[in-house]
Amino acid sequence: SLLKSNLSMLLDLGQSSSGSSSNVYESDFESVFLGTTQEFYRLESLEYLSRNTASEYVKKAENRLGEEHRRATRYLSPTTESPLTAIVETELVDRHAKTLVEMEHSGFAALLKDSTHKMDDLRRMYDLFARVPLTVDFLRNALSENVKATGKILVSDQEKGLAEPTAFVKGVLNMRKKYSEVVEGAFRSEKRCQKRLRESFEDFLNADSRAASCLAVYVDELLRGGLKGLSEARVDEELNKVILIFRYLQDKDVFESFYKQHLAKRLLNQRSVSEEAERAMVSLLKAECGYQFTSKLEGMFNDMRISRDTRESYRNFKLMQQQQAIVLGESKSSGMVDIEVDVLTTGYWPSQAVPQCILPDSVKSAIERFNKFYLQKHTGRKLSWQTSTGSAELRATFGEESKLRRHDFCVSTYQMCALVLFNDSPTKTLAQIREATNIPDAELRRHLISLCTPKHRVLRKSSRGKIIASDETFTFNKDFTSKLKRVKIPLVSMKETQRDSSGNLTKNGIGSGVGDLDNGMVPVPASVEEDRRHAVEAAIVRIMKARKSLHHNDLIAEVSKQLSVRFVPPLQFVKKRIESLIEREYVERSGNDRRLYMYVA
Amino acid sequence: SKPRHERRKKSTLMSFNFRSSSRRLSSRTISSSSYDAKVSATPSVNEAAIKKMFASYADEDDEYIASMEGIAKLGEDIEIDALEDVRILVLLWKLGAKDKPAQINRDEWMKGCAELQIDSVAKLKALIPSLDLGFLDETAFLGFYEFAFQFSREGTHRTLDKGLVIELMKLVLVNRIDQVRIDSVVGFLENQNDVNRITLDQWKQVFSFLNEVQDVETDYDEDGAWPVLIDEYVEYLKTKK
Repeated sequence: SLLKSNLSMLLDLGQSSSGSSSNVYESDFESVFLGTTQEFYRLESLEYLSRNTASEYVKKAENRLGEEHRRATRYLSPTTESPLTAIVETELVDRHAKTLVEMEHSGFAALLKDSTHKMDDLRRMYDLFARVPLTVDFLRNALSENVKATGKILVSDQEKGLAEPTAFVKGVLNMRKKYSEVVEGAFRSEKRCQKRLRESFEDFLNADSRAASCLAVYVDELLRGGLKGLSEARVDEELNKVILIFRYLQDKDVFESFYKQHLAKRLLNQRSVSEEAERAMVSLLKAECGYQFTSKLEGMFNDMRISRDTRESYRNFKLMQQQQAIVLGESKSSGMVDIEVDVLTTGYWPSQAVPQCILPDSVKSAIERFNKFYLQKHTGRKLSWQTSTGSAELRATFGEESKLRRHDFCVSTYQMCALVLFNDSPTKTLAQIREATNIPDAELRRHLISLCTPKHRVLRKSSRGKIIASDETFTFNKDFTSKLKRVKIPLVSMKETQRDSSGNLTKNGIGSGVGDLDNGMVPVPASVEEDRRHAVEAAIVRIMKARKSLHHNDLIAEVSKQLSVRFVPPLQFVKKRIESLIEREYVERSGNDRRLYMYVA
Repeated sequence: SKPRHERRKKSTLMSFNFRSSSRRLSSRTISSSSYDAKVSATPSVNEAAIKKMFASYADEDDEYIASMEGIAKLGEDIEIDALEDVRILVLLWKLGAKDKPAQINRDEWMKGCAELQIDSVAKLKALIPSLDLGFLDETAFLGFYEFAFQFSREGTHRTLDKGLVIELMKLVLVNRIDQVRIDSVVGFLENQNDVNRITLDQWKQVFSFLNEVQDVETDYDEDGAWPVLIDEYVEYLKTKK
């Protein structure tokens, strides 16, 4: 066309002149052309912005860029196209990137909220921004902000007690699904964005131990029955979802600690939905973190298996003894209590360290019998009885002489100890019960209150309301009735027992069972802190022994690397351990350089 | 047995150390970064006199050791207040007391006196001016500084009570470090309610810090392997601004 031939004329002109830096095409045509183009788009972009939504703007920008490209190939010298495109991109995209992200209702940030429906718009914007790579950062930032903000709400719901822990996990899983789709659909699975997404999740999930705690509760619910009736494939699917979130956790050892507590309860109370599901979960954790991480958990399973065998042999042993007694003509006293025992290896199970309470004599002798039996088979072992756990079946008689009612109760060990006291007197004070049983005060209150609830009023308490006064008196309720012959007494939660006199939850009561601090943060459990101290010190000694001398920063980095599978130690924590080891002469500072550590052989 | 010394006061380096000397306490050897003079016993020093001097300071129950009772007497003889005056500490350091805290044994005394050319109280008195801390160069002072900590320990304890450290610091750092800065560190330590004992490493690093870091904004390196206590001191300084 005419334009093309004019321009090629200019080009030819330019090429024939020798040596000069700028040829005719460039000086007479191109620079002016580019200049006016820039002006044009500067104005047009502003106009577009004022009248259109972000998505419409993007479409228009795409069109413009397309037009320029076509024009350039058709009319202009090839050398012009790239500066031309650059200018258009700068004016249309670069200059307004932030605005396009933040535009109310239609900006990238806004669209993210409705990502399922707005995926095309989001992708279109990404493609446009991708032309000016630096601007994509705005999009990634918007994504990150969005994730963190949504996450914060989930956390805040937990802090305020507005939602169940499982809701937190479900919320995070939904978030993960949604935002993964965005990364795939809008960001075209860009690696940088994937990384950014992961970091954003890690950010709000690792503010404290709350996520670990909620996740443990979530898994507990699944393994208690949530997985019931599901196919193996579905079970795997559900458990794998747990792992997806587990991966984000920095303090995996905290999760393990919570998980272990829940597992212990499930195993001891036989609450697992299925052994396969339990083992499947442990396998998944092992695959993530290695054998070290799950060895104790597997030890727990082992203990249960061995326990079953021990129970079997003890039953046989007792039968044999009974038969012997019959043969010998002895009458075994019918006052003998029958016990079923689970023998656990300390060290695998969550530590209890609660001293044994004072048990009724009949129970004591039953325990002695078992002790003898067990220690005969396993000399050198020591058994310590965990009276803070366990349950008992009691038969109680109510009513008047003429019309007696008998009920069997399934109660905790502590409750059994307390109830048996009422055999010698129908009324006991809190202090008397405490003295006679040696049960720690807080637990005692909890177990007693559970016997005074309206539904299960085995005991009457002297004061009204839900709290137990320090001078409380308890009376055996001979008027107790129940439709059931066998009554299970549920334990009220620890939370419930922590109410002040007006029935409001005290500060201790408001937190979840995980022990919230005043600022709403969930702290790392004390046992985990202690394990961490040992782990860090062991790592430091190991590394220093191998390297003989190491610079401070390198030591910190190496220690963190070695421990990262389990947890991320705060810098000051590692420093304190180093200092402790210096004091104990495992490590010393180099004489000349404070920052150089030497191994002390 | 020995009467316990009455005076217990805050400034004391030594008062808590008064105890019956029949107890031989074992502790780790004080590390030797102390003053090392290359001297061989010259004939002008009277060994018998040195021995006699030691005997007058040695414990009743153990003639091999001179513990704080004897050292107090030594102070009296040379007219220095053993409880208040840092120069006694400098003297003990120069004499080479290092085996156990709060005492000097006969071997150390013999060797130290020979090196310092002392065989009489008069000569000891004459030494006093040279015991001024100002005379110690950087390296020597470092040795003395560490000695001061080690010598002030109780028996087998490895750490020092915070209160004692504060007093010791004021005593040994005076004129070497700005009084303002000493007071600042002291103020910080007094404030730290969860800190009750100070380790040798912390003691040493405080001095390094005071030497190396004049301005926390520019001279202090967060990755500088400073003990956590120092990091906390820096925080404290920053919040005070």
